[in-house]
Amino acid sequence: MLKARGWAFDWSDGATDLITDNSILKALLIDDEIEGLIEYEIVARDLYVFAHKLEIDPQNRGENKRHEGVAGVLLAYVAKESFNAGCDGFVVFISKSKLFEYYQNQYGAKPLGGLKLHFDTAASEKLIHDYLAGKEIQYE
Amino acid sequence: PIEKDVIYPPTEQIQELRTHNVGMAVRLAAKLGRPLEDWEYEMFRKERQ
Repeated sequence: MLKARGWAFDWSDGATDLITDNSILKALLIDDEIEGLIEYEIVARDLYVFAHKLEIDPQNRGENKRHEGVAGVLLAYVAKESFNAGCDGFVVFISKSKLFEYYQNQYGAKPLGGLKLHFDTAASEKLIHDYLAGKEIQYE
Repeated sequence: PIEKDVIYPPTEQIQELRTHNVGMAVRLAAKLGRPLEDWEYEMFRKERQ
């Protein structure tokens, strides 16, 4: 279904290479339509959350987006999960080199080393404020 | 083309995350306010710890 709408990744199965034993998949629905998906792991023993992959509906990309800020909402949700899991808001992910600057400028991510980026406590608080505050979101 | 607002799945990269205490490394980077040098990151290799 998603492939037919132009999604690139295969979301039918979770990631096979994991840091822990299981990953979590969350979808952002707007009016019951899947607008974005994110897969992440809570690495509780090391006190951080690792975001495996994120994709948004093709209609939410480019100039005339159907909905603004879909990726931001999903990243902010994972930041919130990091606080809930006692990980102080720390979220780590690996960026493509071409997007390395973009994630820093657009979302406040900070370089960790190599192509790894992270949100620290302050950056996660800002994400939550910018993308979740003031929205009526049902969490399931 | 590389799409914005996409996190591409990691590759070897997962193995590297498994073998390092990334949680402590990321807290040091946050404290220093800069990315870690390779040797600093290697201090968090789990076998070594």
